[in-house]
Amino acid sequence: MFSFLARRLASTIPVLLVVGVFIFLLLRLSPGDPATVLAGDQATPEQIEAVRRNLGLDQSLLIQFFGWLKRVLAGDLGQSLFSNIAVMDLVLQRLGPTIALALATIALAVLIGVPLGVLAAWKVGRWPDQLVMAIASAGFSIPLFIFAFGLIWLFGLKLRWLPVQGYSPPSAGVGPFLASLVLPAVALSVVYLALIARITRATIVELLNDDFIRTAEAKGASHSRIMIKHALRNAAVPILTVVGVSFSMLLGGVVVTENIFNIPGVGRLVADAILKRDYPIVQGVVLLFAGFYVVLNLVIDLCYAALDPRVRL
Amino acid sequence: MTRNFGYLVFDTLFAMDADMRPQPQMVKSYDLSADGLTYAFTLRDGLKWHDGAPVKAEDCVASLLRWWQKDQMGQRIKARAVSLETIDDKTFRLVLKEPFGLTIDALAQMDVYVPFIMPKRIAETPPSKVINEVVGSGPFKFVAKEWQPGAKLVFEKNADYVSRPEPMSGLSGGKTPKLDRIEWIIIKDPQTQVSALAAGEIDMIERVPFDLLPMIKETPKLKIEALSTYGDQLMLRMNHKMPPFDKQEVRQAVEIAQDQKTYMEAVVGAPDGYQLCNSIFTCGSGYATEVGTQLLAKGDKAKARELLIKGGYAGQKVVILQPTDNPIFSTASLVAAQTLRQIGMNVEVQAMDWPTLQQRRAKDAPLDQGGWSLFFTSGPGVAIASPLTNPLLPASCEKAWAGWPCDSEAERLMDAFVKAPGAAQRKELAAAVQTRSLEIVTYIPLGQMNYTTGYRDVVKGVRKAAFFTFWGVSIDR
Repeated sequence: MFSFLARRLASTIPVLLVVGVFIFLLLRLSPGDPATVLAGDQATPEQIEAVRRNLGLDQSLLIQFFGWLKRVLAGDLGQSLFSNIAVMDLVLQRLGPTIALALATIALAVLIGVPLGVLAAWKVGRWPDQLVMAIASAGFSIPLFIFAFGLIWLFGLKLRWLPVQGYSPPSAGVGPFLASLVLPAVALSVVYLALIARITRATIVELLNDDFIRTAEAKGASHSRIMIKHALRNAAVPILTVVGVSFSMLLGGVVVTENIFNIPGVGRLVADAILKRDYPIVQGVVLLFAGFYVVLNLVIDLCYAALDPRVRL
Repeated sequence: MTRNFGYLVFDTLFAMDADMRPQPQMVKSYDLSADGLTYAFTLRDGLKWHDGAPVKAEDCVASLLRWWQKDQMGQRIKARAVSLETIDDKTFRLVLKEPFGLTIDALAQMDVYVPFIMPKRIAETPPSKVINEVVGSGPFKFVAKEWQPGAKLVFEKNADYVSRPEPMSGLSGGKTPKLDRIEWIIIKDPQTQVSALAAGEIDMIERVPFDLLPMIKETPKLKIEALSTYGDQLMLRMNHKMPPFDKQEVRQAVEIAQDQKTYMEAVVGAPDGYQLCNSIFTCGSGYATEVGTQLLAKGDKAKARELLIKGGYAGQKVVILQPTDNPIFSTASLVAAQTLRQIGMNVEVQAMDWPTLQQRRAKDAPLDQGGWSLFFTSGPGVAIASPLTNPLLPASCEKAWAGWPCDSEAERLMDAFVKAPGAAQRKELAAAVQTRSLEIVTYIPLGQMNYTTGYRDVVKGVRKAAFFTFWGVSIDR
C-alpha cells in the first residue's frame, strides 16, 4: 500500500512537468501579448516594448521557461502581470467559491441522481423508469445558460426567493451562503445528475441478472434489501468512477456558471487571465489543477480498494 | 474603467467644466508670465493624501514628470519644457522655451492618460511599470484589502477631502463625496447585470447593453439615462501602408460607401442610443464642424465604385479583423464586409479575440505574412473632441497609430493648430485639420454611441458629465 502511494505520488512529477511545458508553450505560441494589453490601447510601439522589457518577455523562451520553473520549484507561482498580486494569493481568494459550488453541485447530483437511477432500475421498463430517463435526457440536452437564466427568472425575479447572482462566503452566515449556492448548483448539477442516474440505472439493471442476486432472491431477501444491500453496493465502483470524473470536469467547467451567476471563482479568474494573456495566472492555475486531478484520481483508486476487496493495490 | 477609477481616487490640478473649459481643481491659482513661457502654480490649502500626509508641490512635479513621458499632449509640453521644478511645499513652476497655449487644457484633459496627481514615491515608478500602491487625494479611498481583481473593487468616503466651494460643473467644482462606501462589482454577463439591477441586488449599471434597454424600461423603480455628455465615437481604420488602401482613391471609395445610420442601427439599435455626426470632432464639442465632410459616409455606392476604378483597385484581398469578444466592433466588421462587397471588393473577415487583434494590428506586413487591411475601434468623445487628443488623427507615418497614415500637409496643419495663439485661430485650423483628414481618410467616423446608465430610483444626484462620476451621488432607501 505504501509503495503504491509513493509510486503514484512520484508519478505526479512527470505529469506536472509535461503539463507545465505544454501550457507554457501553448500560451507563448498563441497570438496576443500581455505587454500590448497592459500598455493600453493608445500606447506607442516604444511604450509597449518598454513594458515587455519590464515583464521580462523580451528574453528567450528558454530563459523565461527555466526562470518560471525555478520559481515554481521554490513554491512561487509568480505574480499577476496586471495586478502584481501573487498567483497563489489570487487562487486562494477564488478557490472557496469554486470548491463550494463544485461540492454543492456534486452533492446534489449524487443525492438525487443515485436514488433516481436505483428507482429507474427497480421499475425498469415501467413509467418511473421512462420518466427518469426522460429527465436524464432533458438534463443532457438543455444548454446550461438557458436553464440557468430560466432559474434566475423564476426564483430570483418572479418569486424573489433566491439571489440572482453573487456569492456570500460562509463568514456572512450559513443562510446567505447556502442561498447564494442554490441556483448555480442546481443549474450546474443537472447534467451530472443525468449522467449519474443513467450510469446507476444501467449498472444495477445489469447486476440484477447476476447469480448473487438470484441467490439473494432464493434466500428470500426483500426487493428493497436486494436493491440497496446487494445491487447498489456492487454498483458503487462505476458510480464512484463517474462521480470522480464529474468532479474533475466540474472544476474545469465552472466558467460559464461562474459568469452567469457572477461567482468570483477560479474559473472566472483563469478565463479573464486568458483574455488578458496574464501568463503567470494561467500557468499557475493549470498546474495546480493538474496536480489536483492526479491526487483526485489517486483518492478514487483508494476508494475502489475500500469498496471492492478484489481490487489489489 | 481605469479612468473612472482614477477620478474616484486621485485628483487633478485642473478639471474641465461642463463647457469644456479648464478650471483650477487642486490648484488654488496660477500665474502665467507676460511672455507666455513661465507658469507658477499654487496648491489649495488642506489637500491631503489618503494616508494623512499633506499633498506637496514635489508630488505634483513628480506626477507630471511621469505623465508627460506617456501622454501625447504631455509629450508636447515636455518637448517645449526648459524646467519643471518645486519652489516650495505649495508652489511649483513650469518654464517653456516657446509658448504653448494649450498647457492648461492639457493638465485638465479627461481621457487617454489623465494627469492624475499621486505621491512622489509612487509617481517615481517608471511609466512602463504597474503601480503597486494606490494612494490618492481624491474624494474616495480605494480599499486594497477588499480588492478581488476582475471581480470587485471597494471604495470608502474620504472624509478629509476638501471640496472646492464652486458648484459641480462637468468634472470641475465641488466634488463632495456623499456615499460612505461604493462597491464596484464586475458582472461579466449583461443579462445577469440587468437581472441583478431588477432584483435590487445592485443599484446601478454604468453602461447598459443597448439590446437590454427595453427590459429596464419595463421594470418599475428602474431608470435609464444617457449621462455621458459625448459618448464614444465608432471609428473605421484602414491600413495606409498596404494595398489596396495605400491608394487614397480606394480609401475614399470606402469612406463614401459607408452609411453611418446602418452602422448605428446595427451596433446600437435604439434611436436614442446614438447620434449621427459628420464631424471628425465630437458633435456638441467646440471644434465640431461640417466643413470638409462631402466624402464622409454618404452611402454612395456608385461613386464608390468609380473611385475604386480611379484608384486602380483590381480585386486585391481586403482582410477585416473582427474581434468576436467585442459585440460592437464585431457587428461593425460584418457591416463593413457587406458594404465593401456591395462595391465590388474582395473581402475576408478574420475572427479573433481583442488581444489578438491588438497584436495583429501592430504588424506592418503584407496580408500573406499576417498583415491586415482594416479594423474598428472607438474613442471617448472627450478625447476625440480635439485634434491634439484624438489619437487616430496624426498622419506621421511610422510614428502614427496602427494604420500609419502618412501626410505632410496633415502634420503641418496639426503643428499650426498647436502653435495657434488664440481660440479663434485654433477653431479655424481644426476645421482645416478635419478637411485634410477626411480627404486622406486617416480614419472614418461612423457615429456617436451614447451609453446609457441604468439605476434604481433610490439613487439620487446623478448628473450628466463627460462620464459617470460618483461625487454628489447619494442613496435614499
